[in-house]
Amino acid sequence: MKNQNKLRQLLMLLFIISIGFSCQEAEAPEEENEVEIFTDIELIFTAEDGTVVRALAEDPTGGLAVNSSFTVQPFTLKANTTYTLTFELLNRLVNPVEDVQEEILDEDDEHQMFFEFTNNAFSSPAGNGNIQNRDGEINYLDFDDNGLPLGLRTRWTTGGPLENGTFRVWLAHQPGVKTATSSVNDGDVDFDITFEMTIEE
Amino acid sequence: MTKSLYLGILGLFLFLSPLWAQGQASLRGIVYDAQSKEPLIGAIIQLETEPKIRQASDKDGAFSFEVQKKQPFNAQLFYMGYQTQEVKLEPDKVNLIFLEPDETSLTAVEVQGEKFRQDGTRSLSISNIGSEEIGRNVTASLGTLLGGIQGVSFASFGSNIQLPIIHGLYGNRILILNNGFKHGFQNWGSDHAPEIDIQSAESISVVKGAAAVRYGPDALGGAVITESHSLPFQTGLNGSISSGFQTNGRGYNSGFNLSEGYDRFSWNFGGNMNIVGDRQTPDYMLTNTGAREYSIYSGGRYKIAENLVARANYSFMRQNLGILRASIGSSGAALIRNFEADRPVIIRDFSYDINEPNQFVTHHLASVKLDWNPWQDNYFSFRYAFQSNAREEYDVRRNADLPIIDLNLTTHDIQADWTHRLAPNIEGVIGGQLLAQSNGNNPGTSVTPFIPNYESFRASLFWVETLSYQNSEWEFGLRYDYERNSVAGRERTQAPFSDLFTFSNFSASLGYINQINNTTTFRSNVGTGWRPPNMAELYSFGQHEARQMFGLLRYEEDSEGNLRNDRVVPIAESNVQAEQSYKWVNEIEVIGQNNRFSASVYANYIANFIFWRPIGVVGTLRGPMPTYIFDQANAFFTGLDMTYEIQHSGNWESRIGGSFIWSQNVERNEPLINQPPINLNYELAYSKKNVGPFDNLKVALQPMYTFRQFQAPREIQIRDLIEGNVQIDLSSEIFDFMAPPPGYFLLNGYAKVEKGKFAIGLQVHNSLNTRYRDYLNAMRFFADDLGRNIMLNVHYKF
Repeated sequence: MKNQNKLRQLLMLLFIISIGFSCQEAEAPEEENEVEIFTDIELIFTAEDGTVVRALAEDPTGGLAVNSSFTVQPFTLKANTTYTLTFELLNRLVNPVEDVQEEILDEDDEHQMFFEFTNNAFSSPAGNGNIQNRDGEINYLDFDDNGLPLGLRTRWTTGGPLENGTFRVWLAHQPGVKTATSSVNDGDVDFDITFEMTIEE
Repeated sequence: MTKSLYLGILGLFLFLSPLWAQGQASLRGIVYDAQSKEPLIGAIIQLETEPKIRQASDKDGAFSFEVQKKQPFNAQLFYMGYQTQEVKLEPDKVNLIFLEPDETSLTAVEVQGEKFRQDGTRSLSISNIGSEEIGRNVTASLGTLLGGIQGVSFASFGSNIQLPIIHGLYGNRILILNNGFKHGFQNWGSDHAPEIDIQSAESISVVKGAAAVRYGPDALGGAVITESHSLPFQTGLNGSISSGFQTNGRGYNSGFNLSEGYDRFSWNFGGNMNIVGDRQTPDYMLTNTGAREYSIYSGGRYKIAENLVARANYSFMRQNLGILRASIGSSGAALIRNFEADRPVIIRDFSYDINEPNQFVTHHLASVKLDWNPWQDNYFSFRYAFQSNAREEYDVRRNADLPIIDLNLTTHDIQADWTHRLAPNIEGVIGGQLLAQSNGNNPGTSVTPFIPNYESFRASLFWVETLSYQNSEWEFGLRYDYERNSVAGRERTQAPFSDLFTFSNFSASLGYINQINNTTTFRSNVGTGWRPPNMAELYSFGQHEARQMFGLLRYEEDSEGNLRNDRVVPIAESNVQAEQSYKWVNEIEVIGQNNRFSASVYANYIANFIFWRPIGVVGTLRGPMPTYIFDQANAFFTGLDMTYEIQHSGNWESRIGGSFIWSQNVERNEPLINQPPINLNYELAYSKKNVGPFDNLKVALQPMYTFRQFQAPREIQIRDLIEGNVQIDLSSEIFDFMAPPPGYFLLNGYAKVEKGKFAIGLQVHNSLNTRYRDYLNAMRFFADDLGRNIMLNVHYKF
């Protein structure tokens, strides 16, 4: 009899526990800022006379969709003109919109921008850039704390007219492996975009 | 080792011998395990008469001698892995003999099946790994250790993470029952191995078949059961210390275990540590494949009354597991470069450092058990366990110091069952279980949570009854499970979503065992099982490690056949259904005088089988990203496992085994992905007692061959997808980014010597330093598998 009472108490306890467990409601996790993402990568060519040429590569889903795709605007530069190339790098998926460039500047010793373009499209730098060949000429205007090039600011002097040219930009992320000889084959790729480029008289 | 083996074979021989003794009186008895109170089959009872008469206990642990004189006889009892005991057998009564497990024996041998068969699994195919084999593989993970069993293989995610695969099924179709409780961990994907220190286990058994009736939906594909220290009473302080070194990864490990048993109380305490640096292939270092693992475990057992025993256990494990650096790219372009490179793109000098990508996990398990035996043949067991699992995973990314996955999972598990004997030939067990799991994402990962928060509750009832009739046994089982899940997560836009859903179903099984003759046993089991989809299968979302993954509810097909993932689909609107399995397993086992043969054949149909597969490469500003989705289809698995063991002469023995599995997506008539290839293995062992200065010597060679997986999906290279040479949509035939690697031959081996309380073991893996890649290793896309590894281990037991 005593045992039966205990058993009844135990069953009662189990019943209460199961009611307790079975009514739990999950709460949504806290909102996160997707910081790994670029939605907008814009090239800004500023000529010495102040003319600005912009070209936007845009992925509104930040690559997070099962059907992600992106658009790349072509751009046209003037022949025999010197430009300074800067960037606008944004992540519009977060609120407020994040300027990813600030983070790259904070970690300048881990990043480097590499370029590849139609051979001899520019009079300076000559050649086809430093993606295929690490030692290819690029006019870097900014450097990290170790004196190595960063590439958020570069100088370009166009050559003569060009049609169906390409201009490829590759941001390498090289934590701990960025050196004077590190190339696109070292570390990881933050982005790699090829723009269509025309040069006119 | 040799001694026990010899005794075992002798036992078998005697078991098969006809009994010729005739006489005036009978000496009868039953032999039990003093801990579990289970009858021991095949224990040897030797009457100290002239000449000595021996007999082995039968399947109920019983024996019976006919003797000439009605008087007490002295007898000795031998059983593998138990202390030898001398008893006085009284005539014409049932002598009950309890054998204590032999904790200090270095020679404890693999204990064959019967000891661990629980009700509800008798008619299934079960394999065991005993303490000797566990102790020999000090640094092995649960997955690799079990991979030696026919029909069991393992899927790996590099050299530190291995999950067991039973008959082609893995992940949360395989229940990991740690010390009686479902191991409460992030059991999803191929990259989460159970955080169990196998060195704290005394034995591990694998139930190959639908054990769902006994253990619930998680055991749809089988179960892996680890048993911790048996905590015997009345044993002096004993323990062991071991320490070892391995060449590949320059790893070192050490561990200890202490236990003591008084009249009413016993305890144990132990711990292990394992530190490995970067491993290497025959040609290069595998950068960032080091591991650091620490564990402690402890238990106590107290006899409250003669028929009431309480037991408490606690274990803790902490792991930091490195993952091959070259397996991950912070962008798709980098990842594709990793895919296409012959050698990993990042190879650094050897280091013990573990950087990103890595997994940092801690697991606590605290449990209490109460065993009550109020009447003869009636056992009640109450068990409760609390588990807390914290997992942080780090990826290579700009915010690498933040975990990309940061989850806490707590599990409460309450079980009660009643083991009974209703009639002399009917016995069974009725039980129930309440399982509550709560999963929470810790904030601060800076990515949309890969899986949502959830509260999951399951209530289950089961009933298993075994009916013995002559040489046959029939086993009936029925189970009902109810599961409720409350889910809350974040969409891509960070908008919250939530869902609430329940699943419930019956499972049933019917088993048949026939002892055809003295040497041959036939087992057959037909079972149904079901399994609700797990959270990762439903809600996986985002880029992690080597892939971008979308769960069943994270994508949908629009009217034009395009994939979309603008929203999380409520389960009620989706076509998602629980898996439903029907499995038939047959096993025949023939035990001869000096050989043993077993073969099992199975067929398994799983409706709504859930699997992940590549769906293409999406374009992103960071480069093309290989993308995978979860999918459901009806699947069929069939296969054969075989083992043949033979004792050639006193010192030589060998074992040959092989397993074959054929599987198909029968709905679309195409292969399944990541299924185990055919495997053949052989072991030739030589053992001898009293060799030179040593008490025991054992040397074994273990050649094995794994075939190329010829049932793999077609290959479509990432480059072809990027360049648009191939178009893929939901109805396209399944493919993989890389063809399966060629078959490979490995030569492994070990040697072990024992002297008194010392043992030294030497083990070699991949002794020929063969270059190979394993189809089931996710790292095969990026690097070769491990080169030669020599492990030296010293063991002292007292």
